[in-house]
Amino acid sequence: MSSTSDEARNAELRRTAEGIRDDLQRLIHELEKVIVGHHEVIEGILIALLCSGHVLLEGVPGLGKTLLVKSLGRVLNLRFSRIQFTPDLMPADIIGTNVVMEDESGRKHFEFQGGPIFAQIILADEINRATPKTQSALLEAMQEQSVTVAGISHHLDTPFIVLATQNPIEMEGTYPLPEAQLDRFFLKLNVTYPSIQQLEDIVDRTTQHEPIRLQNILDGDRVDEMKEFVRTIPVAAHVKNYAARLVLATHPDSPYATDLAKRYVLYGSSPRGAQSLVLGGKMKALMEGRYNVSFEDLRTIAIPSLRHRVILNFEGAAAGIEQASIVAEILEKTPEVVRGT
Amino acid sequence: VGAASTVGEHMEPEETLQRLVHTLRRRAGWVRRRTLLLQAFFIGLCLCLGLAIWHRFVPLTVGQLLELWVGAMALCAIVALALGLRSRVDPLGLLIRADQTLKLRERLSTAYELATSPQPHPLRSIVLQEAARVGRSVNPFRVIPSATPRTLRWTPFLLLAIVLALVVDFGVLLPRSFVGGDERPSAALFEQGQQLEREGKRLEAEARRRGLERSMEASRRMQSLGQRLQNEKINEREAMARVNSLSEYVRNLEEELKKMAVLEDVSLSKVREVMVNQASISNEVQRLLGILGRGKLSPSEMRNLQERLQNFGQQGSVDERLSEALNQLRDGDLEGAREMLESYLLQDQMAQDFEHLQRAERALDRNFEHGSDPGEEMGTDASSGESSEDGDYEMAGAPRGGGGEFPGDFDEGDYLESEGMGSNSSVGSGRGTEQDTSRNRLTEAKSPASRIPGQTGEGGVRRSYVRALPLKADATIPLEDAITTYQKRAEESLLREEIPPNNRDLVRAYFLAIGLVEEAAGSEGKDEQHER
Repeated sequence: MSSTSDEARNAELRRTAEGIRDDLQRLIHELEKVIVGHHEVIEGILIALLCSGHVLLEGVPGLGKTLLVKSLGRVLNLRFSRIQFTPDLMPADIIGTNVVMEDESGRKHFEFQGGPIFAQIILADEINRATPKTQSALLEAMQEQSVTVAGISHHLDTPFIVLATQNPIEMEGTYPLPEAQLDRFFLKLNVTYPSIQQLEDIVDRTTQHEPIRLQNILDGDRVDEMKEFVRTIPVAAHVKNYAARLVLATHPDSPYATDLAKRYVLYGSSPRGAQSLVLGGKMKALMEGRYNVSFEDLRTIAIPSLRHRVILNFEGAAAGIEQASIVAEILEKTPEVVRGT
Repeated sequence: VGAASTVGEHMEPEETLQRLVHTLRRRAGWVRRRTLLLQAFFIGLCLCLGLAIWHRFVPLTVGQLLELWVGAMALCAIVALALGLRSRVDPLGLLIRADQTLKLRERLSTAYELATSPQPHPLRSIVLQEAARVGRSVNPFRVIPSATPRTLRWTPFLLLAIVLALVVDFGVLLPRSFVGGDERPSAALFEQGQQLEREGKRLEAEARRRGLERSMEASRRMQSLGQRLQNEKINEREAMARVNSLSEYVRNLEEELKKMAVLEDVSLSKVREVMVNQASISNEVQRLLGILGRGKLSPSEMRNLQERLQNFGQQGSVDERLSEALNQLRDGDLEGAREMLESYLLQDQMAQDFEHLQRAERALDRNFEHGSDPGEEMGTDASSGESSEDGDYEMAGAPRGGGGEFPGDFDEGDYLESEGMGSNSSVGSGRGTEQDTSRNRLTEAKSPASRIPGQTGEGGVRRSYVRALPLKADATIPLEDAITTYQKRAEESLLREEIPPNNRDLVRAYFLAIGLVEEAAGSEGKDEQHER
């Protein structure tokens, strides 16, 4: 009897997992109707979405970052909000403020008017154009999924994801993101320039026909279910150990640190990096139809998870060292299994 | 594996996983023991090589060597087996290895961890099922291949090294400082040793034929030294010097043998025996005369005298005068007996003086006959007489003078027993009355200084032990050259009366005896004039 119930439960779990995979596949397929290429970026955004994370998209202007985020908002049937970060943008412009309201009896009172942060998919466009003060207005919302105005906390709806874009080209009037802000991004994805075939495809799609209308694939509840299932994926102890060693290897003072990390890194990844690795690994496993996290899953997700958490020292910045190359060296030199672990 | 897979399909996922773990552990244990044994074999070979090298320096019998080899290999094998049986393989490690080898994406290891974890997990069943599904296709031989230790690649070289260690003589390859003292000498030394041994044998045969014991002994020593040169490692320079010295020694010995052959007929020992007996009889007769000189004797003293005279007869020294003296003593004629004994003593003294003269004459005759180097002459010590010393004789002209040493150069510890080495060295250079004879002697005195002491005839033997004489003595002037000056100064000393008058006869007798000075009337006349 119990075996039968176990079988039924297993079958249900399998169906759930397969349903998640199917939904994700449909989601990706729908997004790829308007987004040419950038498969890894789309996948990364979905991973961050199902892991309750946020994504920092970095790329030169005109590569479709904003389009991607807007399209995602449409297919997920989530409330979408776009914040164009400018140097004169103030925190209240993001999170909202108390305004004086007058009721029917003529009595005046303060009422909180939520800013654009009160949405489920936030596009923080060109986030590095705003001042650090304004950038930091996102901190609480990204970590706690709430904002506090005049001592009153206002919870944000779930799922909640911030997709920030920034231009890698150093320009006048840009403000690098503070480390605390960077650490709150689950992944940092690079939006690369499309290949010639992709470019031709982009031209065809945007000049010959009317803009494609995207369908809703998922809703917020389904996303929450999927997020819950993702967290049940087991991770073996030696795999977790590998993730921990990868994170520790980014610290120059760690015994696991590689040569590049020792030389060019000022600060390594925070524990959020390990969380990002493991959660991202779980999502990768689920997307591949597995029920356990492998070393390969961690390796796949390691660079987008860790590179923005590695702070270069002066020598590294002066030498133009890419954080991604440091993480790549860590992946190359860190053994998967160590005796005694 | 295929059969196991078929059965595994009907098993529970957890049981399948356990069975896979068991299979992998068994395989890992076998591979580990095999690896340890192979490594033990290699270490054993290394030990065998060490023993083979040790065998080169400290030779062992074949049996001992084999026993040590077998023992070393057995010890290594036992240690390897003990380590193999003690080792425990971690099942999780095996499953991780299987995951990595077969690229199973950590399915097996994660499932094993969930299966062994006490905490429940919502996906435990699914994970186990997935692991069982992929585990059925796991080939333990692929996961844990039986690899051969890389060190075994050196096995052929080790075997070759063992064979070489047993066969090759390291003395040829190693520098001389590494070669022990028992190494073979060089070819040149070996050849010289052979030559020396041959010469020694030839000399021994010659000495045996002539009945010369001392020469035989010396030749045996030569053979012994030759054998040592062939078999032992000696400093080459030293050895060559020794060989040269011995070669010269051999030549000199041959010359001496030739000279000795001339003197074979001289049986001095018999003469010496007679002289000893004669001397004792003379002394006894003098004592008897002393008793008779006291006048009247008691009957007991008379009997004692008679018995002593009878003893002379029993010793074989029968003389007419002694018999007559005995008869007169028995008749009670003491005066007659005394006169008879005094007559006997007088004649005996005359006989001795005559013998001295005869011997000096013989010595001079030999010089003239053989024309040999005066320094090599055989001489007797005339001052002490044959009866005063052991009667030992020594060849004159030894580099060290009267040391009675061999001129040969012998190794330390290689003692050479020399027979008849006298304490009285007779220097051999004389000056005759005829000027041409003296010139001949001086010319002949230019011959090499190293000479061989020898013994003339059979007699008392004294053994002297000498060691490592140099090839050449320290003296740079040949003895033959020096003796002329020495002789001249001795004569001048005689003329200057530096010699006490009562010793002049002694000195003169000495030079007469060694044959270097003629009993020239002129010289004697001068002495007499000086005495006067």
